[in-house]
This record gives sequence, C-alpha cells and structure tokens, in this order.
Amino acid sequence: MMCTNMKSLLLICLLATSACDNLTPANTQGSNKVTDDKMTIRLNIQPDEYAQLNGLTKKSNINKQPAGLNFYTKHWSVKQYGSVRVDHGKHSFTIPHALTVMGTYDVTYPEKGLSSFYVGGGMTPHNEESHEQVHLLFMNFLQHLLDIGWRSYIYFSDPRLLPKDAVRYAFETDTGYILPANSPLSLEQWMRRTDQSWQLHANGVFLSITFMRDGETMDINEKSSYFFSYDLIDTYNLAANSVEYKDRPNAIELWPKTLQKLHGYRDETEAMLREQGIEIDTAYTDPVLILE
Amino acid sequence: MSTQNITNGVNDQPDKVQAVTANCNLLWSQAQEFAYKRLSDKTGENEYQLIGLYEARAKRIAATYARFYLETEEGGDPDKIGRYYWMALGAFASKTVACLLDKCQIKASYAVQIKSIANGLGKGNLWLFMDISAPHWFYNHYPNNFEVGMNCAAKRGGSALESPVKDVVDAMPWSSQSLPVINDMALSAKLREGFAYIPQIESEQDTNKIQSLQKKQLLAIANHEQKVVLQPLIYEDPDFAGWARRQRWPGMRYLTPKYELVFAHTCEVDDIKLKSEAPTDMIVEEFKSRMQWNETAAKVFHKLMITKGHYMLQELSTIAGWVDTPDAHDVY
Repeated sequence: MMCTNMKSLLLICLLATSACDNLTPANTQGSNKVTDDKMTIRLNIQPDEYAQLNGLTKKSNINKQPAGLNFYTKHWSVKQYGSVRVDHGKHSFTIPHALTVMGTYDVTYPEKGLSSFYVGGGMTPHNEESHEQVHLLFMNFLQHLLDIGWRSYIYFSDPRLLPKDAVRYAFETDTGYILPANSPLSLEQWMRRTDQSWQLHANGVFLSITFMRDGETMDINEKSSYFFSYDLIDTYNLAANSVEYKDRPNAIELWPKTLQKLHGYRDETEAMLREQGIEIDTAYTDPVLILE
Repeated sequence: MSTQNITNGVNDQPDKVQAVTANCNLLWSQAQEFAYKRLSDKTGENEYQLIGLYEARAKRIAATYARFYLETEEGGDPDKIGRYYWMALGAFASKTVACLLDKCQIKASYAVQIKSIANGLGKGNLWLFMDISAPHWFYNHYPNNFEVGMNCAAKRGGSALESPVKDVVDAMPWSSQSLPVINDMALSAKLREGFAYIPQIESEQDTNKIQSLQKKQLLAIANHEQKVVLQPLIYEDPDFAGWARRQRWPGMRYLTPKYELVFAHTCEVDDIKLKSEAPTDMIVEEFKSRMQWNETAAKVFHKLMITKGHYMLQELSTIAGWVDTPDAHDVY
C-alpha cells in the first residue's frame, strides 16, 4: 500500500464508521467508466447477459462478498441521474432519476441468476422538492403501476382490511402494516410520517417501494429532500424471506406450512378486529406463489 | 422511581454498600461506566486504565457491537437475537477501522499526516462507541425505564452523569472538543426512532416483517450516528474537511485506493475482485447523495444477513471473541 494512498484510505475507513456510509462498491467514474445513463433490469437474468445488456464491466461493477453473494452495482450521481427500465412483459415500467441499481446473485443458486434488484433515487432531479409536487408525482406513478397490472398486496400474516381502514390501521398502529397502493394518500396523510412504504406484485414479481425524506423539513410549506427505494424480488425470495435463515434451503418445501402459520397470525388479528366492529375484506386474495 | 442497594461513586472501601435512589442519571452513569470500562484494563483494586492502542480499542468496540447483536453482552437475552440490528453492521465497520489502523501503524510509521488522520479516526470510533453503546446497555437492563417508566431516553447527556462517572468521561481523550459538538450524547429523534423499533421486532412473529423492521432500525440509528455524531465530529473537522473535498476532485478519484470492506472477520481477502471502491461522489451535505450510499451499504448488509445468516453469525461470533484484545506499549 502506497503511503500517498493511505490518507485517502483512512478517510474512507472513517466514513465507514458511520456504519454504512460507503461500504460499497463500484464507483462508475473510474477507468472503467460506463457512460450509458439507461439500464434495463429483469429478474432472474444471468449475470453475463445482464452485464452485456448494460455495458457493465466485471472489474468495476461487481462487489463479491465472501459469504457467497455477488452484487452487480451501477451508481450515478446527483449531478447526472440515470434511469432504469424494469423489464417484466406487459408490466414493464421505468424508474426515472435513479442513483443506484444493484442486482444480487447468489452463488449457491446460479440457475436463479440475479434474483433480486434494488433501485434507489429521487422523484425529481432536484435536491429539494416541494412535498406537494413529490406527492403528486408519486401518486401518479403508483396509479400508472396499477394501470399496467400491478396489484397491491399485504403481508400474509396481516389482516385483510378495506383500503380506507388499511390506511388508518397503518398509521395508528405499530404493526408495520403496509399502506395499500390502491388507496391514494391525501397530502395530509402523505405528511404523517417521514418514511412510507407500499407493496405490489405482478406475475410472480414482488415490488416494495419506500420513500425516506429529510426529517428536519416536514413543514408542508417548506421544501424537502426525498429518496425513493425500489426492491424487486422473485417468488422464491418471497417464500425464503418468510422463514428463518436455517430453514432457507428448504423454503419451497416448507411454503405450505409457512403459509398456514402466517395465516394463523392473520386469523388471530382479524378475529380481534371483528370484535371491534372492523370489517374484514374477505374478497382480498393473496398472491399465489408458484414455486419450483 | 425505585430504591435499591448499589455501589455508588468511587468504591474506595472493600464491600462498600450504600442505599441510593435510582434515577435516570444514575442508570445512565452505569451505562456509561460500562462503555469506558470495556476499553480499559484493570490495573488494581477498582482501578482501570484506558487502553491506548487505537487498533485494540477498535477491536474491542467491534467485539462489543457483535456481542450486543448476538445477545451475549451484559443483560442480553438470546431469545431476542436480531433486535439490535445496527450492532451487527457496526461490528463489521469497527473491524474495518481496526484493520486500517493496523496498516497505518505498521506501514506508515507514525508519519505526521497519518498520525493526524489516525487520531481523527480514533476519535470518531471512540465517541461513536461512547454515544451508542450506553443506550444499548441501558435498554438491556432497564427497558421499562427507557421511553416509559422514568422515561430516561429524554434525560441522557454527558453533563447529567453522576459525578464520579462524569469525571472519567470528561477525562476521556478528545472529550472537551467532542461532547459539545455531539450534543452532549443526548438521544436524537432518529436514535429514539431506532429504539422504538426494538419492541416491535421483539414481538413480531412474521419473519418477513421482522426483516423490514430491522432494516428501518438499522437506517434510523445509522442516520443518527452519521448526522449527530460523525458529521460534526469528523466531517466538519478542519483536519478532515480538506480530505473530504479532495475526494470529490475529478483528479483525486483516480488516486483513491480500493479498500477492503468485506463482511467477514478478516481484514483482507485474496481475491482482488472482493474489494470495493470508495464512493468518491458522495456529497455528505446532500440528503439524496448521503442516502444513496447509506441505502446501498444497508442493502448489501441486509441481503447478506437474510440470505447468508449462518455465515454472518459465524463471523460475528469470531469478532465477539476480540473483547479482551490486549493493549500495546507503542501507541499513537
């Protein structure tokens, strides 16, 4: 290690003490610069095809962790955003103003290819935006997803509530209940929490969207800064994420039993809510997981 | 408020016991005493000496974070493993600090600039530990007086400690310059938000939902540590501001070395491809830019914890074993 580089090294290390500032990967500004500002992602794509499709180079864009996960990462900057096309047949859509896209490859399951993706970015290219503007843009974005066939879903263990009750339940309990994507938030509701999340699914792909904003700028008349996080996982990952890590290798075989257990939790809560006079949306159907 | 028998203050007599009234200041003093004693060696009856070697401190800090996560720390409950999610990431981050300090000491031979940077590094790691370990120790022992009961979360601060403990804290390295800029270790809204997720994690039964809560807890505490502790303590320190600026210079990024951040107990790995590059475009002052890097790092860590949990626990167990890392005679 050259001494001239040691100083930078130490600063980097120092930043790492923030417990996550910059532990990652793949700076795109180095000698392997990728100039394209548009990328396409598709769940279960093989790494070589993905790299070729998007002009990624192994040297600068792969973060291989010894645990056995490889992270294929592309970063843009707040000075030059990218955009990410989510390729999913008739449910395809584009995420604008992206700052990071990262696909995960598990070396234990090579046949699954990149079985999850994360995209991070903004709703606009500006550092500060009005709450009203971001609210409007995001609600339109959410409606677009619904228009092209994405459907809101709730955790298998959570009660099936009508949208109006679901919003209230999400805000008024500490249960981690997900906001229904099919019930647009009013601006007042938009301002209730600094962070908010939605979940949708379409044809075996599960999408979680979360936004975080600068908690110090929650005045509706002031501008704030928003960061949106999109996570896409396949059916296998949804099933596997529902069991403890030691059961993960058997997640597919265990799924019927897992689902039964999760529905048991749901039944308990629904019974309690019924007693309180809250209607249960029995017309709601869970996504069906086709596992192979 | 409760009364209990407890040794209080400087224990200058064998078997000294006196009745005291337990209030938040006393409980926080116990928590803070835990933190500095962890970084000290016992030198006599009720006498402790802070270890001097920064690398050894960083390893003991990493070990303590790992022990909190693994619920093997004082007051921990193995049935509740997973509730202190930030601690697992903190263990790997402090391990990285230890690795780089080791390189610094061996290869840089105390060059003036390196010494300055290493001092900043040691300061950041030490005061981050002082700030974050005490609330976790407190929560392990007195969860019913954290946000509820005596509501001690609202009463945390270096100046509110009992005098014997306060004297020691005031005598810690960089104390006078650190405490004022990190808000006297008061719990910020983000830190309290992070702790608010803990009972939710403890009571949740759906693994999928637990993972979501863990991620939120991780980010809330990371945001506190970055914004309330490291930014004023380190990023705004003149010694480091210049380096931070250079990180953004177009020419400088080519000089930025690859660094070895791996989620393993080892410092380095043989495969060059395992190494990552630094985020030279991070603009600390901009929320989106900060979140870009926070989120990416959190996602990498989170994915590993979810899908490679067995491996990660093994590595954390190894790091937890560094809790008695010895000091050395040669220090910075």
